[in-house]
Amino acid sequence: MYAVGIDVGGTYTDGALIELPARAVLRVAKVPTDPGDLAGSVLRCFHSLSVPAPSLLSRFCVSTTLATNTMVEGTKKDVCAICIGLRPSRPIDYANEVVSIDGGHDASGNEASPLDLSTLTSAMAHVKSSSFAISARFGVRNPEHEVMVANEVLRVRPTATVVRGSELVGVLGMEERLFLAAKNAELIHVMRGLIRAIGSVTKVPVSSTYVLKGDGSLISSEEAALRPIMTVLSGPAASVVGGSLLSGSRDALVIDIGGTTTDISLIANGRVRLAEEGAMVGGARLRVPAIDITTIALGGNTEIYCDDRRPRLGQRAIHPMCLAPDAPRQMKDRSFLFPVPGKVYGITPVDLFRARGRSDHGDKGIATVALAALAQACDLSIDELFESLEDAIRYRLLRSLSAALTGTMLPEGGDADALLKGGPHLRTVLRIGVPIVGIGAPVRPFLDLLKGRVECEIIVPEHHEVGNAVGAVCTNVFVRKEVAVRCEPRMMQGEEVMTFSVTMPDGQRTFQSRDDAVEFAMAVGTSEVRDYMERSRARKYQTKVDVRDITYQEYGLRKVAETVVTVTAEEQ
Amino acid sequence: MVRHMDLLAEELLEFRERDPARYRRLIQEGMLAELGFEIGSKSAKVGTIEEVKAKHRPRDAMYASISDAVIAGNRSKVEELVAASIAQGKDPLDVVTNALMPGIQTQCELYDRGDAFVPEILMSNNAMQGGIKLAQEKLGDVPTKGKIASFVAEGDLHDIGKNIVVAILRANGFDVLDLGRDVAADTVVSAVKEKGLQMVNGSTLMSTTKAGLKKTAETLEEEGLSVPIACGGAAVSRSYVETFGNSIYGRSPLDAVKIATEVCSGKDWKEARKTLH
Repeated sequence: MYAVGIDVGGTYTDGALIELPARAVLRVAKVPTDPGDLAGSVLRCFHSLSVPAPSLLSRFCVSTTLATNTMVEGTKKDVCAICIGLRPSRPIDYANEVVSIDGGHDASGNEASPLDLSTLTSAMAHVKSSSFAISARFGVRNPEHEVMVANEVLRVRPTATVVRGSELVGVLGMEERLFLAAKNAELIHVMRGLIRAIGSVTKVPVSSTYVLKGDGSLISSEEAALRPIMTVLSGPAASVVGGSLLSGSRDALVIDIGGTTTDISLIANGRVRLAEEGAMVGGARLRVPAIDITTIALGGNTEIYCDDRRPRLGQRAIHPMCLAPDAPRQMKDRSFLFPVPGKVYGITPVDLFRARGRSDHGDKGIATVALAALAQACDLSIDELFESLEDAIRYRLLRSLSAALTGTMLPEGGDADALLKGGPHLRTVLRIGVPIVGIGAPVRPFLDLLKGRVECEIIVPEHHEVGNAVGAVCTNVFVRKEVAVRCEPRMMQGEEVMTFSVTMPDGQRTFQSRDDAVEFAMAVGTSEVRDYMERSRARKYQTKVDVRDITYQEYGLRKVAETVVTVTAEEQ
Repeated sequence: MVRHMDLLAEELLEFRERDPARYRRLIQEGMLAELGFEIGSKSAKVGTIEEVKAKHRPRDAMYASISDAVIAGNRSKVEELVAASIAQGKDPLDVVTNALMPGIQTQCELYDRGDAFVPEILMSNNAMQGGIKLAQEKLGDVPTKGKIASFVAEGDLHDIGKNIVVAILRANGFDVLDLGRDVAADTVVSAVKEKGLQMVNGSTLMSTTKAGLKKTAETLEEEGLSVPIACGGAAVSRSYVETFGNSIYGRSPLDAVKIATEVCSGKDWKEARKTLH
């Protein structure tokens, strides 16, 4: 049984052919990504893997930046936003038509005003869009009106694409959900097109094609075409999962060093840690689950230059001199030593490691000459220059390691910063409770610099350069569904009575007894999780139910505000 | 409700044994319950009344006497002194921030320690308003620190605590809209939309009505207004406020000022909670 994983990144498309169930890496491939033709990039990578029998692949997993890029760049908008019970403040950002109708619920999930379906029906006659995004006031507490509107839209336009805000996320903020629904509707066509194109060029049946989600789990291609927004940030998630799998550590601090940036992320028990606030995409927070990641500007191609006779490690990425096709001509004048704008080739960590003998990537002669020129410009001996630059890299890595572990980036030049740096008589060593796993092509020499400054195992696994592709294929289908039982006091005949409300996929039910409500919440969660696993073609899976109370103290007594039932299912 | 009153009565009796003098004072005020005093957890008094006064007293002799007049609640004297200062060529805004404000700050702090009472706050506020009015005539509008609304949760008619919070917030330079008592979540939300408020303040005395605060916080969030609610009152505790989002807990009226300062300076509720909870 074979499986293929392909990660379409911004610069490179990586692929790995794996033998299951041993998860042995048989072949790897790396081809440049053509941003204008993602399906073509997948195909070229797929070809380089020379897959024996594409139609017999047991699993074909793709992680792609498509959703992320489309979110940042945007496509032609063809979405009609339907708002129930609220007027949106900035619909122009995500929809080209808006219909506002009366309806919606209150915070407890009770109807706030009756749903005005007749206004919708008459407005539908003029709507030109073929996609619809629907969000109702407190639709996350009671989605009844959203469901009724979706049914009505489908009755009038049976072929329309309809997305409801509350089926994507459970957060408060009606317009935020409307925005997500509209973006999701926009992405559906793009994602569907890509999945079809990949299927037709690779001859892999759609029924064994999977797409990676931003939380590091897999979804079936059908599910990806329904909720493509969940694939945002799946690239970084793939790297982290891959790092953990290749190293065989289910708990690890994964460091992915690329050309431009270093991404650091924690993995616990085989699952990536999720960002509390959702994904950061193009400077905006998207409230969909995605990996919690610390990103810094440090990679193989980070610029090293001379400033005021001092060697500096910059922020921007250029191309390494020792890989330049015409390096001697590039080095004719001394401009490559300075941060001139528009510079293409210059000194980078790749050159430093080559000159120092820490790696064998690139032309050693060129690297040595370039570094010697920098040493001269800075009035340093070559050894002093090496030491100063390696210190700068080591320190930037240590600083971001501590940020990933503590959640706070130490302010540069502060007290904590000085302690981390240490001095001639103080060597600060970070004792880290999990192994560090390095992936990405240039990672090894970087991690060598950490030796003596961190106290933990440092693993650079075999095939680490295609860790993201391995991550995409070796992860599994996973789902987590939270159903809340909200306790609310109600006055009935002058008496205070507690009621317990549970939100279902198509409405809300209220109970008089907590036990009945919790039992019902479990049933709702379990059936939704089962549906998801069926849709994802997971045949064998294990379901777990966890019940947790959110409590507060009142007059010396513990009281329950909410009971959260969490149902998870993981493919075996 | 019944158990709540019982417990309170028990605490009161215990308190009477321990500190009879202070107990009498509080009973005189008749609002122990309404303010949600947590007996025993009251901030420890540091220094004497005189020391508190000295801490805030302006260096400038003229300003010091204005501040003293505010503390004394003597409106006519404040007006006379402020008019004289402005006539001398003092910057009216400087008079407000460095002469009038220290006076009311002293009074608020004394109140927080239990060394001053509601009527005194109201008198000091009145005296200060007299001074501000004169400065305003000279200056146009004195910039406010932020726009806030205060209300008592739906179903609750106890508003003494809310009135104190309103007075203290106003005294500290906030523009406060008083929405009154028994206010529904939707009324608060429309006020926020119409007046462009930065924060709302909700209080409740009864445990049966505290859900109104949660409802208001969630409705503000659902409507995407990014306006947090500061919650307080006898029936509200920090742990209760932490069971829902978009909210910050405050124990005393001075806490309300701290929360308002954080929120109106641009912090969101999570950052404000981090600094204050």
